Amino acid sequence: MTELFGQIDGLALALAGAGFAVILGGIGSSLGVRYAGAAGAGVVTEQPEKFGKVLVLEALPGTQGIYGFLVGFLILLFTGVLTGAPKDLTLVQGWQLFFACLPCGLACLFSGINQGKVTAAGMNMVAKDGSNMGKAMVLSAMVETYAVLGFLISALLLFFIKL
Amino acid sequence: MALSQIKKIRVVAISKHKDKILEKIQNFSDLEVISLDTDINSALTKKSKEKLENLELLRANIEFSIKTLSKFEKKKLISNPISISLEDAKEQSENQDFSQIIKICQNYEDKTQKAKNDIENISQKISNLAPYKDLSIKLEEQNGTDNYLIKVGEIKNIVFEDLIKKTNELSKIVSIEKVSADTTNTYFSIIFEKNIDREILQILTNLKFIDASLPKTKGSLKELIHSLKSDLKEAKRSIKNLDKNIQKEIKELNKLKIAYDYYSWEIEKLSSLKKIEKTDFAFCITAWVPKKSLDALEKEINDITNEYTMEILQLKKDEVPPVAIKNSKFMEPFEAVTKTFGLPLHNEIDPTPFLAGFFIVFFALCLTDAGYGILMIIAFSLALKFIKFDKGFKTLISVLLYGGIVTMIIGTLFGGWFGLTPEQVPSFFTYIDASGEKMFLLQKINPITNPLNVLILAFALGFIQITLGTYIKFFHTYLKGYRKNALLDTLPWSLFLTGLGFYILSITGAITSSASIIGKYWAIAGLISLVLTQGREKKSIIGKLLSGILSLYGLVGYLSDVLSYSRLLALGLATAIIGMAVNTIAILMKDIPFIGYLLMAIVFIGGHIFNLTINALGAFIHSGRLQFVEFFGKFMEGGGREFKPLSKKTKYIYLTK
Repeated sequence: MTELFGQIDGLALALAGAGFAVILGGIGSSLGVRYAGAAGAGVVTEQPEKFGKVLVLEALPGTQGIYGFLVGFLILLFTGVLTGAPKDLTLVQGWQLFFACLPCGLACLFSGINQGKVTAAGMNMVAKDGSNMGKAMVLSAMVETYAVLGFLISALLLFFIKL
Repeated sequence: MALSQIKKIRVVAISKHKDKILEKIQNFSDLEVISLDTDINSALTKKSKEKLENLELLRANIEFSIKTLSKFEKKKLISNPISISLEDAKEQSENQDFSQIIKICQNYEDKTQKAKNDIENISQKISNLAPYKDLSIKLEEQNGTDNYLIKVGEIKNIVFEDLIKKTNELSKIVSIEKVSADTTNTYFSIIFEKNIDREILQILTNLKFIDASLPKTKGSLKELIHSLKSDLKEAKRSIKNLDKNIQKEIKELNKLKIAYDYYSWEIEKLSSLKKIEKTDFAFCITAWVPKKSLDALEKEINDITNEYTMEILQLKKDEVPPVAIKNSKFMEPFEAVTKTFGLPLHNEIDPTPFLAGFFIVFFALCLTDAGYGILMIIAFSLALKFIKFDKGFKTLISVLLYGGIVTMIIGTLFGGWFGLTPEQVPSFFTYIDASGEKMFLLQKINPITNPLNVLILAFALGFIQITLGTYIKFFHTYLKGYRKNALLDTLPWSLFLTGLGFYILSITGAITSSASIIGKYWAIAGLISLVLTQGREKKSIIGKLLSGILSLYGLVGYLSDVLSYSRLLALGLATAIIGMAVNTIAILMKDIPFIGYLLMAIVFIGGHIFNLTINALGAFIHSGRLQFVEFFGKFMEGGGREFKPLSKKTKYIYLTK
């Protein structure tokens, strides 16, 4: 164990954090979009003219993946990996960055999956009556709130952790 | 600027004018006929019912034909509806016999369906026979002779050796011919003497033999497959021919579309007869009409006849009028936002004018990129100029256009230009501010280095909107006559929140300290008044005091509402950072030899369009949510029934005057 962790420096931890944020957000969104998309495909089979609306709804649970990606991007940016001159981070800084990624990653994971379920239900509303679109979107956005909050905290942490 | 006042009226007129008056009302588009309690005396006579059914059948057939022909319509990026006047639409539709084209379309669909079924059947057959195509036995020989039997079929590869061994043990005069094999199955024929058929069949059954059930015709299988293939080709060709023939009829499509809309109007008009009462000589319409349209309606009917009466009815107890909202031309697009939530109840207030400013500012804060704002302005003003949208869509585009304008302004103040940093642009676009930071021209705040300021701004806007919500509730209930409730339930909260606002402002040093004392005492006074008023329903004095104090818990609700506005910062940051990521990736592309700059341009343009689309969608939804959940909840319940006048709705055409 000590040998393994002895190899890990601050930068590696920070990059692991970036990876977690992107992976968790990506899992959340891909599952969410799957639920929504599967329900949407059913709607489109019956009513092909609603494809536009279905597509917009399907995109809604996709934002969690983007938030995760953004946190990952911020880490790459702030640690200097992107510019090709990575900073020397202490172990403490590394852990700080690692934990800063978690609010976004975990919130996005669960929010993405659950938003997908709500959106799938929203697809049924749209199938019945296209004018329900706005309501379906708002219901879906309620679940997204918590991913937004998670992203916000992660982003603020990354902005304010001194490197 | 508010809810339209809707009156219940009754019009009674002589029967012979019925059709003309109905037509007038439909063109007038501002009257909703109320259903009858019973339809015993309904004006929908047997004759008109028949007519209605015929029209519905005709419309269904027309719709069917449109669907068939639309498959061959040339797809255009922007498809405008057909412009036509009311009179022309009527004349064209009534003077044309559509039975011919309907028949052609039905014929086409029947025949293609049949051909498609054929293709499917034949392909299925071919794929079943394909493994046996090298079979040497002719099809007429498959039943064997008097002494020998033949079986053709498949078994699993792994048991094929078994089969040979077992049959050889049984008799030497068994011939097994392997025809073909794939990864799992072996296809073969077996010839054996009739006297051992039981044993052979037993072996085959044990090894899970599946009989090929070859068709009982003549010739070799190869010939059969060949003829099937040519049948397939024939069926495909016939579909192609059918497609080619139907394409000649595409010129009828526009006429069909016009007729579809025209007959939809007629159907709606005839259906409304069901809600109209008739006697031997007269008929009677009970309806909802906005108060301001009453005079105009009277004038319209007067044009036809003066043999009528029109009176305003008193509402029955528990009778709820439908709701229509009316706003100035500038505010009208924002009705789309209100309607997304649903209309207010008939005795509530129209939130549209109050939400408009907030909605658009929140939308802009979620984007905060002047470049995107400019793109939106260009795209949506071009769209409004060149495309004829129906009304609902037009309001949405107008809202987005306003959104673009405000986004440009706020984006400029926040220094958002396609996610670029000041270092990346020529120096005449930038300046050095007092603290030595490089900024874009006109930029006042940098949300990336100073996110807290934006967060505070978001909270402040939320606080203002929520406090405004409580004031709206206060004034509305007060003016409706529930003065006690307004003064004792709502006003203390409004005053307390206002005082609190001033107090917070003075703590942060935004206003002078003398004002801070006022704010402080004001907030305390509000707090005391809350404790004194909120428990007044309770009987005992202790109960009053306790629920008064408990009501302060409501503050948590207000607090969480305000915190919800932090999403404005998060979404704004998301736009900025995605923009930055796009630029970073685009710059990485530059170093690829030969096509580097091309790739860079593609990534830059594609990435920013993606960012704009996904975030404009998010901005719209989240800005809307803040109105619906945080703002509306303070003063309205919603759920009013929409006023749906008898009118001429269009699906395909755009009516010119």
